Amino acid sequence: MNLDFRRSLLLRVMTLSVLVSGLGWPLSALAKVDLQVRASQTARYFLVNDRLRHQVTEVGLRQVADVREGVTTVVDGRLRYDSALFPTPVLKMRDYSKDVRDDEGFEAGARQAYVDLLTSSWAMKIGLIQFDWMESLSPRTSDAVTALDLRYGGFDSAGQIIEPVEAFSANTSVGFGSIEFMVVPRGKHHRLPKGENGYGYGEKVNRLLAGLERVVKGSGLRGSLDTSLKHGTIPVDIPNAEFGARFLKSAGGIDFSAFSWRGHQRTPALELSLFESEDSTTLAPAWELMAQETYQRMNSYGVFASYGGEAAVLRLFSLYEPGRKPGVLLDDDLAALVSMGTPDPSVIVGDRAYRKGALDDRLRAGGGFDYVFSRHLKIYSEGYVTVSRVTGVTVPGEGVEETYRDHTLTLRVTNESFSDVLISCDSTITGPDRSWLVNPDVSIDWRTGDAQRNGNSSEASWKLSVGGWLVQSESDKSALRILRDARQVYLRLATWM
Amino acid sequence: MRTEEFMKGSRQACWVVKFMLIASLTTGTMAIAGETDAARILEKAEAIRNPTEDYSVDVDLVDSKEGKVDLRSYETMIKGRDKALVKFVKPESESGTRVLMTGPDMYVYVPTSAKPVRISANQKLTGNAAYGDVARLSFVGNYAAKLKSTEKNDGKEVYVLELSSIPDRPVTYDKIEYRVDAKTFRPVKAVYMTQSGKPIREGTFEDFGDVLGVQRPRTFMLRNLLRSDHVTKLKFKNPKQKSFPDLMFEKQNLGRN
Repeated sequence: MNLDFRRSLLLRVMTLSVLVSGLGWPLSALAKVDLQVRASQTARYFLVNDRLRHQVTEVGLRQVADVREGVTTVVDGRLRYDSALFPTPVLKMRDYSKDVRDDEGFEAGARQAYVDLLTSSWAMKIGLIQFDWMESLSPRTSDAVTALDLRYGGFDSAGQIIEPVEAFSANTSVGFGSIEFMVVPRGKHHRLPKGENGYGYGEKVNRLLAGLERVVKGSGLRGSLDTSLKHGTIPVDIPNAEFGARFLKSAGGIDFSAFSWRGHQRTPALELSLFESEDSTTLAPAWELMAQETYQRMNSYGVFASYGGEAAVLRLFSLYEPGRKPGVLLDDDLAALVSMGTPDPSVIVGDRAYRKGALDDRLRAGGGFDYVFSRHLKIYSEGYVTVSRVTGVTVPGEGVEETYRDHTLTLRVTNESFSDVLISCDSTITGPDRSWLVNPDVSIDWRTGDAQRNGNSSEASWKLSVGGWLVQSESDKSALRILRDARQVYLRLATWM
Repeated sequence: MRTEEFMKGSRQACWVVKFMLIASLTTGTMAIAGETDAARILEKAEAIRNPTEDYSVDVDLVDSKEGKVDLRSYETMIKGRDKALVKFVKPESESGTRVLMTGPDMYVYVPTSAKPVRISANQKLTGNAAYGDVARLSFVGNYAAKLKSTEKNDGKEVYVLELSSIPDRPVTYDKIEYRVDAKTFRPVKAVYMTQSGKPIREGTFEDFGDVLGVQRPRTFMLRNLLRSDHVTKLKFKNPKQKSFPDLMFEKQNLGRN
């Protein structure tokens, strides 16, 4: 069970918000209170092993209260229960670990809980908020500054996968543009599965540890060998607080923005170490191979521009992240053993491996183009190239400076030719070791209940969606390889009232 | 050619030039006068159609097409002549969506995307009506007006203005034929046209009543001239005169509540 609201600051903000907007403040004193309830039921069937992987019931509640002119409180929470993670007499094929069940089975928490202040010269937010400074379409492009919930591959909408953070933000006009500041006392990293849940990360770690275990055992070390993954987190203290600023300017149909962010790496680097200890019962040597998730303190810099024409929108973006840690880092002892054991450690670790201390300067540059053919047919596209320059010591190898690049291209086509039916298809291709992902989706909307003409609130909106996520990767080195076993079809029924 | 003939010819040419100059100046002055009249008529009609100060208004939209009725509600906030914020209220599934129009720029914020995104001008249409219709953006400053004619409409004399969009303004339609009551300057009817002059929609201003101290239209009926069975009714209610900070119309604040 994951009760996010146990966290003290969030609890305080939510309490304050509820007190201000509902209980402590007389309702009559509030200018306006909007309450929205949403509920959904989603079933996901994995195609690889032909089984129901998720049966998620979700209920969400969002309250927006205008406390007074320029002061608004927002509380948005959700409750999720995934019945497919728990054994039932009928469906006995559950094979999830306790870690996965504890992490994903039940979840109750706030997605947003903040106070919004708007004055003539400043716009401010304080509380638990979701933010994304990357001006791109795909939420997965936002993985530098914004922490994402990637437990399910990052397939969901941005609002569902952006991890909320406790933050204070303020922006103001400065004559020649606008400046926004943000402070996040407790930065977050991407949320990854706690165990092997079918979306690849757990499998990747297990495969890495199993491969290294074979190498270590094959090296002739005497004694027992245990492997473990130690989940890491971003330290919570003042020196590790995150903050940033961005400048925005819009003129003549062109938007420009640039930001600088002092934060942490959102994706963990796995630091692998081999420890020797002594088994106290047998006095025999014992070894432990440990993978430790670490998040490097680092800066990110982004520059964006977009232009809107009659039918088209053009976007350009670049993001520079110097001083990242590469994905897999080995300590000296382990690096020596791996170097002896195999000429190509990527066979074992499934990735490039470096000795501890290696750093990766990453530059991502790309753009997007949207075009509206008609009210019915629209396309959205986005592509970017990521160039990494790593300095350090490879495994095996000597001190090096190597550069490698990969690319991603996404195309989204939507069609609304049929009344209340939206047909869309997202296609993403990554390289150089080609992998692709296709997400066809058909949604139909309808409404029930009385109309809103007389202010009646009995109306409900419904949406039924059918679609799938199809992943194909031709190489173990391709970018989407960890998602290839998560090929799935889904059926979702959602309602809002 | 002899010198006298050349001089005579020159004098004749001079008279022709002078005549042309006077004629062009006269027509130019008449044209300017016509445009001034048209601008004045447009100014007066728009002062009736919309409050000139910043204001907010709720809009109920009833879209009828092929016997099917779609109902939507919006909250709109208008600042000046080129800034409008449209908040979607109903249906509930779209609640929280906002559209910002500021000058030629248009942005949409959808709660599921968690950030504002620039959209092209062609996405300004939502069904039969456009965000500009919902926001009831003023024609003044966004269209150049020309007095085309006067005519009788239901026994009343009306001015027929020809409005052409000014480049880089937040307008929905390229051309409008705008009919204004010659006596009261109340807006009567607007025929919306494509660049080539093809009429596509016809809007009539109805249900005049007291709105912020002036008799203004509270209902706007929009008929699709290409599909006779498609009619959209926009009902404007709860108008409030307010002063909005400029920051409310900044892109980065579109996701705020």
